Amino acid sequence: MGISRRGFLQGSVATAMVVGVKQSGATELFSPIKKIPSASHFGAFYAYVRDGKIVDIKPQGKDDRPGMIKALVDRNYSNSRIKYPYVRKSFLENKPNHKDLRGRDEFVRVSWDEAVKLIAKKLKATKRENIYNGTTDGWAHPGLVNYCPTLAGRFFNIVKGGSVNIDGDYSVGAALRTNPEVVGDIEVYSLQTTHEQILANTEVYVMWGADLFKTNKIDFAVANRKNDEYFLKYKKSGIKFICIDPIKTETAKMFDAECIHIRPNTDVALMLGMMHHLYTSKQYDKNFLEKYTDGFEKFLPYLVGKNDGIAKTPEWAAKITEVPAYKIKELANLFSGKRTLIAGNWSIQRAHHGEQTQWGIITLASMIGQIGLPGGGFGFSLHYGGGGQASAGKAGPGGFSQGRNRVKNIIPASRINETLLNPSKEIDFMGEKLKLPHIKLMYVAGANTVGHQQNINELLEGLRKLDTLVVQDPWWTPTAKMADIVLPATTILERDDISLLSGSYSGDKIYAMKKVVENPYEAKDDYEIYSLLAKEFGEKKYKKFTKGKSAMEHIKDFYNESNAAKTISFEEFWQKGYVEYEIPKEAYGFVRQGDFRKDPIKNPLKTQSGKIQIFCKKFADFGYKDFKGHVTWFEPAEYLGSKLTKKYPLHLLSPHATYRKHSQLDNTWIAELYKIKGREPIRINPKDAKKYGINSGDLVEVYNDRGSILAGAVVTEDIREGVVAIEEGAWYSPKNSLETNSRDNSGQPNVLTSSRPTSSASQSCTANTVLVGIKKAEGMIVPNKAYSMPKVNNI
Amino acid sequence: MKFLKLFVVLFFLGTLLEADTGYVYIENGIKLPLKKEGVSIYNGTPLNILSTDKNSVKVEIEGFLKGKILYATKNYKLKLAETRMKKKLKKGKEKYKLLITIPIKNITDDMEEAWAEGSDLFYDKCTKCHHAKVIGKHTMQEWDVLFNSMKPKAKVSKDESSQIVRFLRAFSKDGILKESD
Repeated sequence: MGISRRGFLQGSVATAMVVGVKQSGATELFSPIKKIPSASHFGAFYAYVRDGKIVDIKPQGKDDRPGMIKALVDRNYSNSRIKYPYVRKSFLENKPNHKDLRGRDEFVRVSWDEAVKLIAKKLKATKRENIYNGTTDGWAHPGLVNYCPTLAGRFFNIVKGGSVNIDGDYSVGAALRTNPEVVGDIEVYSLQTTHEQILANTEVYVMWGADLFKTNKIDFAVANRKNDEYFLKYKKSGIKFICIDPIKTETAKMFDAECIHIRPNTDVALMLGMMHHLYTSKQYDKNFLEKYTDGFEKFLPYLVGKNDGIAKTPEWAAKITEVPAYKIKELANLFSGKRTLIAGNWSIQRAHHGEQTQWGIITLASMIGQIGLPGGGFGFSLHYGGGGQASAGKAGPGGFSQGRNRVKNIIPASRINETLLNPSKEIDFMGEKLKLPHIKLMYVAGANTVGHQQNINELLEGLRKLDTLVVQDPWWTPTAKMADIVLPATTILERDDISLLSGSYSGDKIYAMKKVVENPYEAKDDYEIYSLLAKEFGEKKYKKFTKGKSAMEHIKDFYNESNAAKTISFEEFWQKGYVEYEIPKEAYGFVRQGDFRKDPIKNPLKTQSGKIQIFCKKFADFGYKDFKGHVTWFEPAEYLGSKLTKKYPLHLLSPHATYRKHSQLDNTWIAELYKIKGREPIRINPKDAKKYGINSGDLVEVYNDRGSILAGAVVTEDIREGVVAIEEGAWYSPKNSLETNSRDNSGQPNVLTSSRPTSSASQSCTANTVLVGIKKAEGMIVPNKAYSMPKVNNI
Repeated sequence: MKFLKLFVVLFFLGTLLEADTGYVYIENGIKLPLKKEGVSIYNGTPLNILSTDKNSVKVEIEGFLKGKILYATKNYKLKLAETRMKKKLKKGKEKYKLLITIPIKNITDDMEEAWAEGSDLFYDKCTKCHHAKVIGKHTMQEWDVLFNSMKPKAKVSKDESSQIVRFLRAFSKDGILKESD
C-alpha cells in the first residue's frame, strides 16, 4: 500500500470540492470528514481526515501563518519516508571495506525481527563507554511518550547502564558555560521580562542579532502564536527598535528598526567601544556597578588599555566593526539615556570566542545600569519559545525519566568530529583536561547529525570509522543514508501522544496529540521500537523500561501528573484535545532580575560574589590564552578583517531557517516556495553580486578549503556587503557520494563551516565563523537527490 | 523467626563494624531530630562508627561549624547536623567533631540507600526533557545555578527541591561523596 504525493494533492483538490459541496448541504455524497486535534513544534492543529487520508490541516486557534503546519501533511506522504527496516548491504555481508561504503551503498530490506536482533547483538557486544547516544540533541517532536531523547537515554541507562552523551548543546553551548558564573543563571532558557513590562517601560529595544518574529515561529514545546499579537502592539508602541545584525531581518523590517550592519563576529568590539565611551564620558552607572557587580576594577585597565596599550575606544572599535565611531558613541548615549532592553540572541555566541558575546552584553548592560528595572537590562531568550509571555506557573504532564547514566565520559557538543577521528585525545575543557571517548557504535533517533554538525565532510570521515551506525527516523535524512541499520519510525500524525507543557515560557496549554492516520508501511512508534529492543535484554529490563504499560496508559499517567488533572478528567481532556491554564495576574508583572535589583542582599545571584561577575576569578584561573577573566576582544580565526579574505572574501552566516525547524520540513512543498532551482537560497549584496557576475536566480558554487556547495542566488540589499547568508538545515546531498569532499548539491552550509571550537573553555560550535568564495556554478548540474530514497533492495 | 531477626541484626552490626563508616538513613524527609541528644542530623550524612550495641550506634560526625550547624565543606553549603549542645562538639585543627548516639534503624552502610530519595528524585524529575549531566563534573556552585535555572520547568515541590539540591551538593565535584560506577 502506498500513498504518493500526487495522490495526496489529488486528495486536496477533492477536499476543496467536499468543502464546496458541504456548504451547499450535500455532504451525504461523501464519507464524513473527521476533525482530529494534535500538535507539533510548529503549533497545534486539527487534521481533517477522510477515508483514512489527511485532506487538510488547519491551526487550532488564531494563526496567521500556518504554512509550516500545513506542510506536515506533505511530509507524511513524502517520497523520503522510510517504509521498512533496512540494513546496508556490505554491512550485512560483513565486507572488509563496509565502513568506507557508508553513504555509498545500497540497503537491503529485512524484517523487524532481524533488525532488532541485529541491533541488540551489536549493543551487547559493545561496551557502554564505546556507545554514543546521538539522539541527545534531537528535536523531532513535542510528544512525551515517543520523545526520542528521553526514550534513548532511558533505554541505554536501563539495558546498558548508560552510554556516552554530549554535554551542552549546539544552540547555546558557549553561553551555557559562561552565564552561570557571570550572572548566576543559564539565562538562555529562563523566563524573560514580560511583554507587558516591555510595552509599558522600554524606550529603546535593541535586537542584537535577535530575529524575534522568525525564531518564535517554532518552539521546543508546541509553538503558540501569542507573540505575534504582542508584536503588533510593539509596532504601535513608539519603542525605538535597533537591529545590530549584518542582515536586515524580517523583524527589523516589521518594526522599522534602525539597522546597524556590523561586520560578523565583531560584536564584542562594538560593545567594548560603547563601554569605553560610557566610561570616559562618565555616563556609566557607577552606583549600579558598585552595588550589583563584582570586579569592574579588574576589567577597567583592559578597557582603557592600561594592560595591553590598546584603549578600546569607539575609534578602535570602528576599525574592527565598520560601525562608524560617531554611531558607536550615539548608540552608547542613547542606551544610557533611555530605558533600554538589549535582546541578545544565540547565534552571535555560535562563533569563535563566542563565550565573550553574552558576557559582553551583560557587562555593557551593567554599565548602563538598568538590569532588573522593568523593560531594561538584557534578555537572552526573547526570540525563543514565546519569550516575553507571562508564565502560568502550573505543572504540565509528567514524562519518562531517563534514570542514571553510569558512563562519565562526555563529548562537549560540537566535538563529535574530533571524537570520532581522534579517540582518546585529550582536550582542554572548562579548566580541566578531558579525554575524548572511543566511540564504536552510534545510535541516532529523531535527530540529524549530518545536518547540525559543522564541517560535514570531516564528520563523514569520522562516521566511516564507526563499527556500527543505527538510525531510527521516519525519513531518509542524510544521517539515515549513512546508517548501517535503519528503523522506520511513525510520524506524529501516526500515533497517540501527549504534548510538553506549551509554549515553552507561558506553559499555558497541554495538547492531546492524537493519531490522525494509520502508518501505511511497517513503521513503528518510537516507544514501541525501544520496547522491542529492551525485550532483547531480558524480561526484567523490558518491564523496567515499559513499566508494564502501553503507550496510552503512559499518556494517561503523564496527564494525571499535571495540575489540570485535578479539575479536568483525562477523558474530557482527550476528547477536547487540550486544556488551558489561566495566567495569574501577577505573572504579567515579571521582570528578569527584578528581585535582585530590589534587594541584592536578600536575593543574591548564585555567583561567587552574589553579584554580576564582571571579573570572574574562576575563569581567569583556567589560564587559557583564548579565554580570560573578563570580557575580551579576540580576533576570530576567520572574519572580514583576516588575511584569509584574499582567498575567501565573503563571510558566510547560517541563521535559523524561516520555514523549517532546523532540517525539518526541508522535504516538503513549503521548501519549493523559496528554493532556487531546488537549492537553498544564498543572500548576497548587489555590490558583491556585481563583483562576481551573479544575478538573482543563478545557481552558484560556494566554497572554501572544507568543501563546496550549490546554492541559489538571491541578490538583496537586506544583507551587508561582504556577507552572504544561507539558512541552516538543507538536507546534505553529495553530487557523487563515491568522491571525498564531493560538492553538496543541496545547499547545506555546514559543509563549509568549521569544527573549530569557540575556545579552550567551552569547546562549543562556531558555525558563524566562516569565510567562503563564490562563483557561478560550473560543470554538470545533476538533479538534487536530497529527498529521494537511497538505492534499496526490497526483496 | 526471632532467631532470624537476631541473625539479621548481628549480621548488620558486623557489617557496620567492619565498614567503620555509615550514613544517616531517614525513611522520609531530610532532617531527623534526636531530642535526647539535643541534635538534629541530616539524611545521608557520613558517620564514623565508634561502637555499637543492639539498638544504637555511637558515631562521630566531622565538619565545619558555622553557628549551630555543622557543614560538610568549607563553603557551608551541605548541612550534616545541628546542635545547641556545645559539649557534644570537639574542636580539631579546622574541623569539629560531633559525638552522638543514633538509633540503629537510622544508620546504613549502603551509601546509595541513604541517598536514594534525592537520587531518585533528581534522575526522575530532571531527566524528562534532557539527559542528566554527570554530577561529579560540576561544583556545588555550578549545580546551584543549573538547578535554580531549570527548577521552574521541572515543577518540583519545596521538599523535593531540598532533597535534590542536597543530593547534588553531596555528589558534586567539590562535594564529599562520589557516585558509584
